[in-house]
Amino acid sequence: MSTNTTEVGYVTSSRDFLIHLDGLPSVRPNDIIENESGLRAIVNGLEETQVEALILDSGRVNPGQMFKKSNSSLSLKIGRSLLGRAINPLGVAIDGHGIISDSGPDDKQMSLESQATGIASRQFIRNQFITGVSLVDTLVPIGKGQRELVIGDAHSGKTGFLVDLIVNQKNTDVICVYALIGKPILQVKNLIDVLEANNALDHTVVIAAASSDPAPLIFLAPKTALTVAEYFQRAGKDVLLILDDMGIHAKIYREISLLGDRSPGRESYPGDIFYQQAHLMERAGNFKKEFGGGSITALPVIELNLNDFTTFIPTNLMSMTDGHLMFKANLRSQGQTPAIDIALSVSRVGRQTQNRVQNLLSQRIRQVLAQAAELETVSRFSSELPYETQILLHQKELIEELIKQEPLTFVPLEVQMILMALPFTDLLRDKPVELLRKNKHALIEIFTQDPELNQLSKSLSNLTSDDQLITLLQKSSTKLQQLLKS
Amino acid sequence: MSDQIINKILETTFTIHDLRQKIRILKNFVGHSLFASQMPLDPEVNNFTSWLEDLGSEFLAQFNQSNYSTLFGEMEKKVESLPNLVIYFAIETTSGQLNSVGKWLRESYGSNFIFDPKYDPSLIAGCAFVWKGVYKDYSLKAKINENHQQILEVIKGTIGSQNT
Repeated sequence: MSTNTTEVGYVTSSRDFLIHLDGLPSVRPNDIIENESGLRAIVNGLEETQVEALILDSGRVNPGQMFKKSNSSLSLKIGRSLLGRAINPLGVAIDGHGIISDSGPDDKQMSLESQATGIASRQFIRNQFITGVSLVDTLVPIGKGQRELVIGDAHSGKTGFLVDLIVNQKNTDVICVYALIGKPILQVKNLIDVLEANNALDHTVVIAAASSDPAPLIFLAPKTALTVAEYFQRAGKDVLLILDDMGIHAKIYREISLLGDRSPGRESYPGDIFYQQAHLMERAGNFKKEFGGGSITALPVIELNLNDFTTFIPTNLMSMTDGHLMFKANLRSQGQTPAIDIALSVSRVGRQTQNRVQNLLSQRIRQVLAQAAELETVSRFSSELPYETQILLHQKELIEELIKQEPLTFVPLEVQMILMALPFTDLLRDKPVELLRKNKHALIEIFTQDPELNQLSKSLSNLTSDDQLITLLQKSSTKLQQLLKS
Repeated sequence: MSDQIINKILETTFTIHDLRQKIRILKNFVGHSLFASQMPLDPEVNNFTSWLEDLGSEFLAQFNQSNYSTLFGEMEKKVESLPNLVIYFAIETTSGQLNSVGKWLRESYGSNFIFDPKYDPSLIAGCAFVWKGVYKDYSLKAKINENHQQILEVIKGTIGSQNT
């Protein structure tokens, strides 16, 4: 006699989204179980006599309910058809554009829980990730495959900056994966709308678990995002992965752990919170051809509480990334966009990806900014300053103006170099900052569109030092001089 | 000693629900006789007087004020660890039918055996059971699901021939 045989377990206790079951003899962590009404749960742990599971859907579970083992484990079918779509961490479309169709034979069923590949699969980060933002590309450069933490106060313009990065990749071959972790549903919708309005959704996959979703689903969001990023990386693509925000991810994991009676540690986070986040970060990198050849540039985001970046989770994230961009709300209110604090921002990998001129120019700018910061205090008490000091302070003002960049604007790398070198030429020596402010857009335009000056920007690759660039600019065409005279 | 007491109760008890209920009744009855002032008698005990009499005075004499709490603690733990067979019936069963099933199970699979009857009308006919976390479905519903396509074709054929 043939029979329908499945493994089942009965709920013995339930606390919010955490349930314990008796039965299910051969389940493994990350297996999916479901009850008769289709409510799904993911196996989270195996105890001596019980199975611990986390409910993934909204619904109530009572002791005595039966859960059956489903044939699937925690995995996702990924293909190119995900591009331009917004999905939840289980792969269900949430953008109202219908179900995700199969893309073809290249579709892959991938497990969400995978270990980061070892050092043998990785290669040296040599290529710069061009953000199109002068401040970042020149002073805090990011390499393809780098992990750079985006850290800052609330309302400091982090999300706007991240949207700029995605929009600026639209004419490149870079695939963007944006994970919204526990954000309000309105913010999720706004982001999708902004990307769509700027034609940036075509090369982007949005993975969103809103704050109203069950906690276990929010916890899965970065895992899904990394799995989607890995699919494209293994297809040889460079991927930009944004995890927004890992502070919420940590809080959700704390909630799950406390509910599961795990002993709390510092700030009530469980002992393995570092592992939970580090094993995600480790999945990013620059990979050898045998392992797909692409790269995953990861930008985890964390919002600070009361400007304090020395608390547990921000310092954890700092230690598991290759640098950070520090956003400050007060810089933004002073009119600096992106509101990145250059002195407090670090990139441990990006410098090796810059060309020599860019690197030397960046060093020169940092030196000027540091020296000017020291002299600024003294200058307030002195009525007459030495000429050199006046030049230095003027250069600082010019640089500060140049690093301000309107949202949704892209400045090509060559033009960035020219602009950042301008304060060191005689062209702007006695000119007020207002003149630069007025002509900044015209300058960018002239260097990208004017045939003569465009030629100059293209010839930068032949230079070997920033001094050569400065000399070249001084000798440049009259068009530039006329523009800066007006 | 708790094992002996459980085994004695199991002689006439077949379902997990009955076993839990009888232990609760016994606990209340013994508690009342040992600590009359602190423990009032549950009115439900009156429905089990004949069962309590059948247990005999020698059986009840095993309990005293010092072992009362330990013994019942052990018994309650033991009940939860007994091998439990969950049986889904398609019909509502009477206690007589359950006793017959229970006796047959004891004879076939051993004296320490307990079962948990559940009612699931969606099975239509037959039954399903769960043993050690594995669900086996021998119901008509499972058969229909298994032969879904064939049944549809037979029905279509019958309707077609009637129409012609």
